[in-house]
Amino acid sequence: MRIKWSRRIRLGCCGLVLGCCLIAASQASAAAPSQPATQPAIVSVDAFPADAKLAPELAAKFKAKLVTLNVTNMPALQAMTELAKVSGYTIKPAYDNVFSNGNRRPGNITISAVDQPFWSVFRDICVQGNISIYNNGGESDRTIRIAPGNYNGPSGMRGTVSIKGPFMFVPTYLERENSIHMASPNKVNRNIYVQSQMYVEPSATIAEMSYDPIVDEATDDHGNSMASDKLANRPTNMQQSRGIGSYCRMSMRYPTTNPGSHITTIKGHIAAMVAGGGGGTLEAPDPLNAAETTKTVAGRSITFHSLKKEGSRYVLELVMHRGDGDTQQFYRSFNAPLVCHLTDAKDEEATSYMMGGSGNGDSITRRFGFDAGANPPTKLVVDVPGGLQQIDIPFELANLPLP
Amino acid sequence: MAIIEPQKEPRNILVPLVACVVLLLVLAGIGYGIYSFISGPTSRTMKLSAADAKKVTLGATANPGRMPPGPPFPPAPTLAQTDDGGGMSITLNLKNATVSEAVDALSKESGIKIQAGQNGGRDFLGNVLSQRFDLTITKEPFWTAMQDLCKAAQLYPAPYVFDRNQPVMLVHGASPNAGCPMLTVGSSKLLLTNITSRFNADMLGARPPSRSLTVTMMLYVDPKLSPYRISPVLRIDSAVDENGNSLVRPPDSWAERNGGNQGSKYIRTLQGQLKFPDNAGQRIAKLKGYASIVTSTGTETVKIKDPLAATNVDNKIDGQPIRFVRLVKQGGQGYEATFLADSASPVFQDWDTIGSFSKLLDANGKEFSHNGSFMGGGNKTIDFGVNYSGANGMSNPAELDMTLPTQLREIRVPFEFTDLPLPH
Repeated sequence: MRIKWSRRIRLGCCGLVLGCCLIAASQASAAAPSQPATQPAIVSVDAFPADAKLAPELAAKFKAKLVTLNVTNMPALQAMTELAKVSGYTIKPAYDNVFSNGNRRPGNITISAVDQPFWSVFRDICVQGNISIYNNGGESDRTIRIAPGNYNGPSGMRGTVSIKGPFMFVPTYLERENSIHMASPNKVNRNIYVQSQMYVEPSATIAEMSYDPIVDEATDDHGNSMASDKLANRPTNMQQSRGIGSYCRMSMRYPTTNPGSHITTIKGHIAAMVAGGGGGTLEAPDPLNAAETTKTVAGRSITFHSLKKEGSRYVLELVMHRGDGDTQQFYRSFNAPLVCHLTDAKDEEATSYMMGGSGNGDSITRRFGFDAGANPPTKLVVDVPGGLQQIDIPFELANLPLP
Repeated sequence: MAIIEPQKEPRNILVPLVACVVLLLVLAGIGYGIYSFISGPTSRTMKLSAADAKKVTLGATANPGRMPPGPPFPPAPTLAQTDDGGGMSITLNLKNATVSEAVDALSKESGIKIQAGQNGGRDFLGNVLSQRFDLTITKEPFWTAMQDLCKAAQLYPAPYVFDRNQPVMLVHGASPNAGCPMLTVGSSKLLLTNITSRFNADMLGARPPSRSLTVTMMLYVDPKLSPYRISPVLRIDSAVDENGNSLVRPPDSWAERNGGNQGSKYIRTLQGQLKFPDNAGQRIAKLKGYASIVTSTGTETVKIKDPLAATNVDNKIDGQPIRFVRLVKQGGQGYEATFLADSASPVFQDWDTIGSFSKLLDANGKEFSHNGSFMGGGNKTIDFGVNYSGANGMSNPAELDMTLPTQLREIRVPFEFTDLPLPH
């Protein structure tokens, strides 16, 4: 049978088009794996329930900042800039070029939020734009650092989170450990461990945060209780809170019979130490040339020693004196972070970070670094908090996997 | 009946050709649109704050401060193996001895510092002072003698010691690992303590959990072997479940570097990483491999003059290659030296070695203090570095000394276990 030329050309073109479409589809499917569903966030404006035994002035410190943000199809980083404007918080990429790789570019986002908790809006941008918080544990300033979504564990911010007031509790890894101690080879000890980050809004300051969140209530989809009384009664194991995020790890028991496939709900709390009232400030105008000054602030004797330029940064040295106080209490009292504000003539504040220090039983010298800006600093203000007191920060999570 | 076919106009081939090309372009456009839609956002310029916009330069890759790569780095040679040699030969004959007397006697006989320490607030001294026993040990290796002493005195060697120069610490009470299977191999003892599986969940529940299996052992090395390093990684030659599934996992070059400090010279916790297949059985039918001990009986020091001017200086110390990459000033009296070594070399795996192998001296021979160290690299080489800081009045660095072990040898401690539990 003979086929006419025109028909041959038509068939050829159709085949070519079909091939192009198949290639395009296969390339697209290889480049963009299907995205699993984002898990729910449990959100409340107030951190603490109304019946919490907390001084009203302290409870008032820990309310979510409410923000309004309406953006449509906006690049996620630009939306973060808008969120930074409306919240007053500093949000910036974790380091140069962190978003430069082609696979890491955030997408566009659409948000219509009116008077919503800051972390809720922040997370929404993260989820839509595939962004995470970057927390390497070494930053001590109040900046929120962002990075591509895969930096914060395999699912970034899209797993379940708890947002209560200024606190956002983000589980990042969940693991079941089945261990046999070979002295009892027939007994398997099974536990669930959840590595998490507790983030605090930049305006809320925590001095110490526990490593060990306490699970008050946990249930799987078969109705098994997973909270462990033994684990709940451990002493709190505190870490100095640095920056806006603190690592923690909670433990639960794995059901011994008929375990489910999901943890339907976890309710718990994490102990933290916060500065009470009675704080003050230490100020040094023209700090590059200021003479050494000692002042008693919030009951503590502090010396402004020096501010010097070292390369592309300024280094501040403060000396804290124990006086007649107890040595242990003296060391611990300075876990309450000193927040240093170094500003120039245009009132632009330099990014700060802790640089360690040294001490003996009588005094501690602490060093702080500041990125040098275009103009020299003209004013230093150090916020010195009051004494420490414990609060229990609640969290609530829903629908976690149970491996 | 005649059939009259309608007269057809001769067809112009250009018309369908142009139509097809147009159709092709339209469909290709649609296909590309679908592809672009599915494959996610494309490159775009984003407007950030002025400061951030400067930093987030899309597509920028150059790091002007970065050192250009040096010449190819030679691999470290495989260490020669040596045998155990039998270890110490301890003989004690004690009658009605106190714990303290027995510990002192073993310490004197072996030449090793041993300390029976306090234990968590218990009245340790009260317990031990009231205790007396006879102890007869005849020509036994050190750890066999220690085992006999600990059994008689109700002590056990502390598994965690954080400093190589610390004595062997003895803790009062029954060892938490009593009852675990123990192998005596030459003068060493190998204790199988734990088998652990871990199922790591995807937080979105979209993928099945990743699974791993870890075997943990304690290795007790006879002090006579002069161990330079006990590898924290168990080498697994063969591992199989009862269904015939292989549990052997490809070696991970980073595993050696994840051990932190070496801790004790003579005791170390070792781990072997195994595969946990989807259809894993309930038992490990066979587990065979070895623990690795590296011994050394000397050191050698290499001096680099004017280190601020030197770059990519290659040396071999007892055959182990090391490259001094550079020394840079970091403001004030701070300096940072970077080095390169082979990832298979046993010398550069631990933080305590990296933190202590080098000295930076000024023109007057005064030493800069160590101010931290760091480690990175890939599968074949290790990048690591040391930070130094000088006191006021010190001159620029004039010499960098690197002191490293010589006469390195490997002793292998083989093991084989059968029918072990495989926890799910």
